[in-house]
Amino acid sequence: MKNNIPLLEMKEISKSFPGVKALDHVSFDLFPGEVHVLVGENGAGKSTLMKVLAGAYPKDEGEIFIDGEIQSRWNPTAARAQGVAMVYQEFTLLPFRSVAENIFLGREKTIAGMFLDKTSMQQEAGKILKSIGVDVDTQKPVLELGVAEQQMVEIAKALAMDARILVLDEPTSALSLREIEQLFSTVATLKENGVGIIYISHRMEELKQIGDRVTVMRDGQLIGTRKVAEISIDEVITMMIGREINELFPRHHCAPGEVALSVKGLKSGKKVHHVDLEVHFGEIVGLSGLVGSGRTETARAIFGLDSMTADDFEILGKKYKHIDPSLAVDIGVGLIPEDRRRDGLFPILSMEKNLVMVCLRKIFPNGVMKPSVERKTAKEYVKKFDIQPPSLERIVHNLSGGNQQKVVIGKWLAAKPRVIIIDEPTRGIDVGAKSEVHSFMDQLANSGHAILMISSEMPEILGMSDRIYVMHEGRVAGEFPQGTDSEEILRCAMGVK
Amino acid sequence: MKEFNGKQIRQFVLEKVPTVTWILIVMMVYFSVSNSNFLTLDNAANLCRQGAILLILCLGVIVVKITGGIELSNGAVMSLCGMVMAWVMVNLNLPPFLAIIVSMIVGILFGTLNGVFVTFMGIPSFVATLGTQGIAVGLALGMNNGNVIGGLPEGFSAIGNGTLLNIPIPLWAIILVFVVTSVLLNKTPFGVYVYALGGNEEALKLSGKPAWLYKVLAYSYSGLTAGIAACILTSRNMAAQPTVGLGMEFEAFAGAVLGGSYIAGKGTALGGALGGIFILILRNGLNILGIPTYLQLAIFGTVLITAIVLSTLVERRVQKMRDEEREE
Repeated sequence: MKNNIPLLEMKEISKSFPGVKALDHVSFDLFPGEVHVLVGENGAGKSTLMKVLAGAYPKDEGEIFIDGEIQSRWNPTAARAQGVAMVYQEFTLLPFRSVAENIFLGREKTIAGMFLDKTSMQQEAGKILKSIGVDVDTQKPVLELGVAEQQMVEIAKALAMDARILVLDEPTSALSLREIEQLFSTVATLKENGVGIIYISHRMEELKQIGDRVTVMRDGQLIGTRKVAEISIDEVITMMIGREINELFPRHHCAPGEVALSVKGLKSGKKVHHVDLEVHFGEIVGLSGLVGSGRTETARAIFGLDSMTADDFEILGKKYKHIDPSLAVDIGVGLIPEDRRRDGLFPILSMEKNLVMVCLRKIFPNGVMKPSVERKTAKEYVKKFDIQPPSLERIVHNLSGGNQQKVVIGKWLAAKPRVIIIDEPTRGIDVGAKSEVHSFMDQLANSGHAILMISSEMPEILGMSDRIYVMHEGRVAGEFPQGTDSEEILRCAMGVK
Repeated sequence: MKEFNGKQIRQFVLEKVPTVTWILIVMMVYFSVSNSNFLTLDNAANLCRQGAILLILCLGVIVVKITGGIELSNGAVMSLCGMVMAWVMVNLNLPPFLAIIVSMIVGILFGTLNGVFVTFMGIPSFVATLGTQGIAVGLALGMNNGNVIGGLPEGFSAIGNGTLLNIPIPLWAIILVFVVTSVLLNKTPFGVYVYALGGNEEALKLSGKPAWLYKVLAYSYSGLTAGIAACILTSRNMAAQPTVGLGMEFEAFAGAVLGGSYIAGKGTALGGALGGIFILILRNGLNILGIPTYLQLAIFGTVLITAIVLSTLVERRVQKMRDEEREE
């Protein structure tokens, strides 16, 4: 950081999406040879900022400077030309092709302008990999490499494009301890070579290990940029959360009833390793944790969407060995999914058709549909949820996010479930609809339903839950009573003791 | 050390060699044992002449298949190419070598049309190629009111029936198309992009390449192979028949899937050729065994599905083993 001119300077960047201000006058800079860590809770605006940097999103306001020069036209091509490279969590590698081919994808070396010069590509790729301290066979297809090695190939790919500004998005989330060390030594080498690194991570201990400076974002705003050496982890966490929770939640806590859902030792796929949880009637149980901690996968496993094994799996007092979604619906379990457009709705069907979709078998037991009954059922839920305008013929695709969510919830309630799993109940909907959804949930719980609520929004978890489970890397890492401090929960979610 | 050897053998058997090879070997042994006429030089030469058309089509389809597309138009396009080349020879008195070029150009045009539909109009390749199939059949039928065009120049017969250095010219054509396809896929940047289109199109776009262009070119190449196949077919029959290629597209596609893979971004020229050979030998073997046509069709379908299911199962198994290995 001897150099005074920052490699990158983003000044007062703003970016809005319909209904949400994703970035609100955020400034960010990066010096050559520096690791600048970017932290913030889920939805704080980190990825939006990085997408603006990559040119994937046009900015609404603000300016970008590279080497002190203002960039008037900023798009993916300009970003690439200026040496901005992203290493995404999802790799952009060709699984069946060799390491060398992947590193030089789009910039192949050729003989006579026609034929691939495989030897020189392999040598060159080997050199680049060696320069970041990695030793892999460049002829191997990528799918035979470990995750860490694949990540190194991604980094090498960026370097082959002469990257000067390298964005690493949660690079360690899929790595083992040994692999993390390997990555860190690579980062150290890159620093020596004058590459500026933006490092997005949830892991606080990493911040201290490799960060030079840290910037904290919250709700699309810049909270502060500090030198890592001069700040403690506690201070960073405090900055991430902010102190007051100024939203009001309409939760009327009541005494919980019998156990409705009890799971012990649940395992499913690669993301759920060991989950114990219990939900009682009349209770809203919050399931907190970082993105990727296995919350959604837990919900899917309980609902029978993914295959799972459990030591003990009990719903409404009955033990089950296997469960599938149709059985789950029959015994009274509902899953309101995270991505409503993709998993919750039939976007090109009408509100009426959507609303009766799950309860068809219940209201038409002999298999013949009657339009009048269908209409009556749909009407009931439109009224209950006060969906405006109440026109049953409207195509769901055209509804606002809040109304869509009401339709998804309505469709499940029409099937009369006793246990409701709700994943991110208020993501992407406006404030008014949010509080309506919250009151529905409160009413549901108080009328004797058992609710398991997954949420990435800390205020929602704190404001709505009677009890809170926190997941960390596929396990339930802690259980907290209502009224727990948000810091404690975040700490647990990040695996900080 | 012993375990390592086992792993190597397993890798060779399951991964390096297309699964269809093993099925092919089993089938050939069966046919040879069942009938002494199967394993003869005569039959082999016969197969070469018959099979050139299908193999060449397969080699074009495999390129489209690697990009993740489906090609169902090449049978009809081949018929049309034949009609056009016969027409120009008869009505314009064009010499055969020019007619061949005309045939290839018509093939490339229709291939490119497929590519344009798929990339710019965003039509699924299945629908787009089915549409061009219709167009090509219609044009081919309309050219001579649905009739055959015959009376081609004498010299033209050499392509389908002649030999060069004692090797039938259709076999040379197979070798040529095979080598070109192999080189394109393995030795040129174009090949890398074809694999990239199927493996991870986003990655190709992110590396700043015009992905659409390479996709169009992949379809153009398949069109070209239809044009080449048309030359052999028309010359063998010494006449162009407007519906001769119908149904060929399914055989070619089945061959490409068999020898390649269900997964986009995977497959080789060798695999495509082996898949084509599999279908040829199956047809030929059933004929030699003297099985009635209606039964042949049923057996053909059954064996095809079995072979594809087997290949898919092997592929899944390999994937699973790899995942397990990585987790260890």
